[in-house]
Amino acid sequence: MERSEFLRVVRERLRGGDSAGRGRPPDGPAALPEEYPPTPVSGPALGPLDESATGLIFERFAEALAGVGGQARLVGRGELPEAVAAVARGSDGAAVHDLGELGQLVEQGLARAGCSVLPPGDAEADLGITSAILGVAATGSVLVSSAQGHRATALLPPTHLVLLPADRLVPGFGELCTRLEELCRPGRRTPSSLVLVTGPSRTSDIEMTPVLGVHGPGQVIVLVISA
Amino acid sequence: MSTFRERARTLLATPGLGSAIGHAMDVRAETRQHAFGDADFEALRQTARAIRAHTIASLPEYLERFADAAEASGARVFFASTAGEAVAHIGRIVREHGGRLVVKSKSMVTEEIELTAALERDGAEVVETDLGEHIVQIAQERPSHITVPAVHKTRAQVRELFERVYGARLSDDPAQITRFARDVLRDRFLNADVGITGVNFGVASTGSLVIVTNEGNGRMCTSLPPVHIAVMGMERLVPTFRELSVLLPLLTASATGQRITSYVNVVNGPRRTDEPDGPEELHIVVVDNGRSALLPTEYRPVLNCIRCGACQNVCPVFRHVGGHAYGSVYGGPIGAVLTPLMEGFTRAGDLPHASTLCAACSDACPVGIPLHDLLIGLRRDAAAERASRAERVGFALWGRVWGSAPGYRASVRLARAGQRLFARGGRLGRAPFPLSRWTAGRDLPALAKRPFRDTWRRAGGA
Repeated sequence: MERSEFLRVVRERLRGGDSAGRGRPPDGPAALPEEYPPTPVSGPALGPLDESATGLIFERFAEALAGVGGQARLVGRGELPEAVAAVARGSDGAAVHDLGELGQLVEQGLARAGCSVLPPGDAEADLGITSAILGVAATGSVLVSSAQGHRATALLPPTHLVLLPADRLVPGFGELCTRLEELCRPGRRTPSSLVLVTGPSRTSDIEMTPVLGVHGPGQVIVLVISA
Repeated sequence: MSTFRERARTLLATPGLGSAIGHAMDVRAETRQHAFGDADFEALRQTARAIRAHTIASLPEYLERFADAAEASGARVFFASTAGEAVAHIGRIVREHGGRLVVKSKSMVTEEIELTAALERDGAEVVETDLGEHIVQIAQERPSHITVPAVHKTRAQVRELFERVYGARLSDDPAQITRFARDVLRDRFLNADVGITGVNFGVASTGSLVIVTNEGNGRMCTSLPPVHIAVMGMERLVPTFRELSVLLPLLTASATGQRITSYVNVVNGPRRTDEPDGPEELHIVVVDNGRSALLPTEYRPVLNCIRCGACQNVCPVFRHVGGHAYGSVYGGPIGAVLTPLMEGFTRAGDLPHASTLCAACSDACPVGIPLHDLLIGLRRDAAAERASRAERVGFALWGRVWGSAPGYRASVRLARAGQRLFARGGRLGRAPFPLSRWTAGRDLPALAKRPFRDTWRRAGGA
C-alpha cells in the first residue's frame, strides 16, 4: 500500500473514525514528559574523569560485566601485549579488526601466544579482536560499530576480545542514548550496524537453565586501556 | 475450532506442565525484582505510559519521520495494511533473491501474519534460529510464551526431539543440546539467502531499528545473509533514543529480568560501500493488520504494549495452562485482550473470560495498560454482540427484580429456602440449571441463615 494512503487511514482513525461501538480512548496528556526518572541502567553521575574517576568508573564497569559472565581488565599500554597473549594462549587463529595504533601491540601479543592472525571476518577464527567506540559502566556493555571492520569478527568466534580506551567509558544509558542519537543521524554514511554487547551470548530456553555461548561468543573479555 | 475451556482441560491434564510453567514464571518474577534494583518502578511506569500514549497519539507524524529517515539511510520501507499484503510483499522480495533458505529471529508479528507458512508454500526453507523457537518449530508447535517459547518442554523431550529430527545422539544436558543446536544453526546462518527479524523499537528521529536478543541470532540474521527483512508492528516506534533509554531497560527487566540483554542491535541501513560485510539490502515492512482500527476505541492503550510477557508471568490462569490454551499467537492477559480484538468474538470471544480479574497483570505491566479493565470491557462487548435471547431476557428480568427492595427481599427469601437442597458445608457448590453453568467452575458462600437486616433491626438499629 502507498505510504500516504496508509497514513491517511491512521490519521482518520486517530481523529475519531468508526469505533464500532467500542467506547472512546482514555484522555491523557498528549505531550512527552519533561523529566525522565532514573532507570536501573542510568548509572550514577560522575564528575570529570581524572585518574581516580577512571579507577572508579572502571570498577563499576568490571563489576557489572562480571555479573553477566564477562571479564574486564584495566591495563596500561605497555601491558597490552602480555594481556592479549594471556587471552590468546590456546587459540589457533585470531580475526582482528583494524585497531590503528594499538594494532602492533596486539600483534606482538598474538605472536607471543603462538596464535596466528587470520583475515578479518574469517569464519574459522576461534578468537575475534575488535575495539569499541563506547563502554557503559552501569551494565558492563561495549558498543561495536560496523564502521570499525567486519561484523563477523565480533560475532562468529567463541571468544570476543574487546579493546576499550578508558576515556570512552560513560556512566549509563542516558549518555549511551545521547551518543546513539548522534551516531545514527540519517544518511548513507551512518554505520549500518551498531551493536551493544553485554557479556556472552546466552539462553535459558531449556527448562530455564542458563547456558552461555549459543550463537555468539561464549566468552567476552574487555581490556580497558588506561591513558 | 476448539474453545479455551477444551484446550485448557487438555493442557491441565498434561503431567508436569503446570509446575514447569509455574517454575519458569517464578524464576522470572524473582530476577525481575533484582533487575529493577533501587529504581522507582511506579515512576518509570508512569513515564513509559506517557511516552507510549504520546507516540500512539502522534503515530502518523512519527511513522512519516521514521520512514523518511530510514530511506535516507538506504532502507526500503513498505507499508502493509493487512497480513496478506505484508506476506505477499515479503514473499516477492524472497523470490526476487532466489531465496531458498531463510533464517528467522524470534518475532511475534511474523507469527501473527503467519509468514513462515506462506514462505514455505513458496518453496523456501524457513529456519527459526532462537533456540526456543527452533525447538517449537521442529516439534511443529506454536510458542507457548512470548519470551520462553518452549517453556512447556522438558529437557528430555527436547533431547528426544533433536535426536529424532537430526539423527544425533545427545544427553539431557541443556549445555550439550545447546552446543549441538549452535552447530546445526551456524551452518544455516552462513548459507542463508535472506534474514528475517522483528523489531523491538523503531526510532523515529533516525530511522534506526532496535532489535534485542540474548543468543546472538538477531545479529546473525541482520549481518550474514545478503538481504535483511525487518517486520515491524506500526505501533513499535519511539520518538528518539532518549525515550528508548527509558523503554529499553523496562522491556528487558520486565521480559527476562535482565538489566540489559546480551545484545542490543541498532540497524541503520544496508552495508555501506566502505564496510566489509553486512546485508546488501534492508527492507522494512510496517504492519497494521487491525492495529489502527483500535485507535478510535477504548482499547487504544493495548497498543502501548512492548511485548515483554510480564502479564503472562504473573497471571494465575496462564501459569496453569500456558500459552497454547489461548489458541492464538498471543497468550496470557495481553492475548486475551488482543486476540478477540483482532480475530473477533466468534473465534475468540471466550478469551476475556480466561481471567480471574485479579489485576496482577495490570500491576505487572511496565507501560500501564489497564488489562483487567479492558478484559471487563471485552466481556461486555462480547455479551452485547453474542448473548442469546434467553440470556438477555433472563438478565433483564433479574435486573427488574433486584431493582426494587421488595423484589430483592422476596428473591433472597426464595433463594434461602431453595439453597437447602444444594448448600454443603456452608458453600454453594452446585446450583440447578441454568446456574449450574456458573457453579461448574466456582462456588460461593451459602446465604446466611438470617439476613443481616433482621439482626440489625433486632439489635435496635434503625
